[in-house]
Amino acid sequence: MKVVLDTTIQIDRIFGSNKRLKRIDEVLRGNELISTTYVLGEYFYNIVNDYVTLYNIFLQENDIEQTGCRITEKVFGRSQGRMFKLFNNLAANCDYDLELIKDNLDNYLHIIIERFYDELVEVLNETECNKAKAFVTYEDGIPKLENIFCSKKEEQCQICEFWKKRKEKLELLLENEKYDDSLKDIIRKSLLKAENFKGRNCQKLGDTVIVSEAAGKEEMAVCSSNRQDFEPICESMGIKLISPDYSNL
Amino acid sequence: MDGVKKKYTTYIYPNKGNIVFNYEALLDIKIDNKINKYEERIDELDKKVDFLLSKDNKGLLKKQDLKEKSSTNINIEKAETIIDELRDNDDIRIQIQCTTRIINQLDILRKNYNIDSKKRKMIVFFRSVLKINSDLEIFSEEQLEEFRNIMAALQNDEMEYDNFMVKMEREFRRVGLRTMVEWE
Repeated sequence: MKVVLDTTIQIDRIFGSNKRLKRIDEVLRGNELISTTYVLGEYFYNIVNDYVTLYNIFLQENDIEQTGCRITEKVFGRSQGRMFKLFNNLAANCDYDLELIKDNLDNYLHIIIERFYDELVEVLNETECNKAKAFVTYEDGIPKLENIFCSKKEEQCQICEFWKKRKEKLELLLENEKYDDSLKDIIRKSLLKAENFKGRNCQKLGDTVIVSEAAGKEEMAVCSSNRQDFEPICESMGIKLISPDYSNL
Repeated sequence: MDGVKKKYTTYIYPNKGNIVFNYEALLDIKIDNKINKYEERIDELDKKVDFLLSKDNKGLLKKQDLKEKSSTNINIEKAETIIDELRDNDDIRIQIQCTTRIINQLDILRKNYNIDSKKRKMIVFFRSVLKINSDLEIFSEEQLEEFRNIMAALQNDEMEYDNFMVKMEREFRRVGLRTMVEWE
């Protein structure tokens, strides 16, 4: 069976604890692993973006305590936890040596982008997600993430076409009581005006996009650790959901 | 008229021609002599610096270079010996102790000016991987072999640098090593 890995699984496969890795391996073993450019776009937008930001904060401060303070005071939500944990672990790994931390931050940057493709046999590209084309460049030794924005006005991707082909699937979701109401609103508005599928709404519909990419294909399942959000979508689209068991970890 | 200070070194003494000195004047002469000696020494050092910066010192620099290079090899050999000590080891405490010694050699290496930036990157990454894995599980023979490969690559002057970091990371994971600190 082919299994589409969502962003949560991709992140855990790359940065998760050994215990998590073991649980993921248990559910994925023997399957062909695939992902999508949409997931890659999310990975760039969330993970690589967080990483490059952390690297920049460190370059600005060149100080362990101040970098920690900046993360605590200026970065919020999931990004904060992510950056803080990574930076703490990295600083400890480098014996709190500033030069070593900088060198390791640079080393990791090359690795995290490549790791996305690890063990994947295919990357689906039906959405032609523009964010998946993001890349990192250096300006005088300072890394910056480019091409990470998507515009609602410009024709950068095929998300509208994608949903046009899957109108029936969306209607099935609208009938599902377990499916999130705010997402139903977005879908209703977007069915009236396709442009509404783009931009921020596209991000909000992320889980739905990922499952829809797998829908309609034979012998296909989706793997996500976010069972709560994925279950109603998979149910409506008739897709098998695989989730690693992270309980007791 | 009292002696007039001229820059920091020479003094003019009104009665010097008639050899009339008081204690203060003698003290000044003594200081003056010392300063002259220091100035001579500075001149000597300047000449040495000029020589070192000149084209004639190639041989000398080469000697220095060789010295640094041989010290690089010594650190690599030391690290290799410690890696060999880990063969057949089944005690995680010994592994931690050996890893500390390897990391110490790697730290000396990464500060050696003879190590180019790419190799320095390798050393930094290898150091990080060693530290992450040293107290997780006993290193397998395959993992130790990978460590030896890294040490050999560090000695290789014709190493291929194309995408080397990604390749190195992949090899580490292939032999079951964790390559990055936890994030999520």
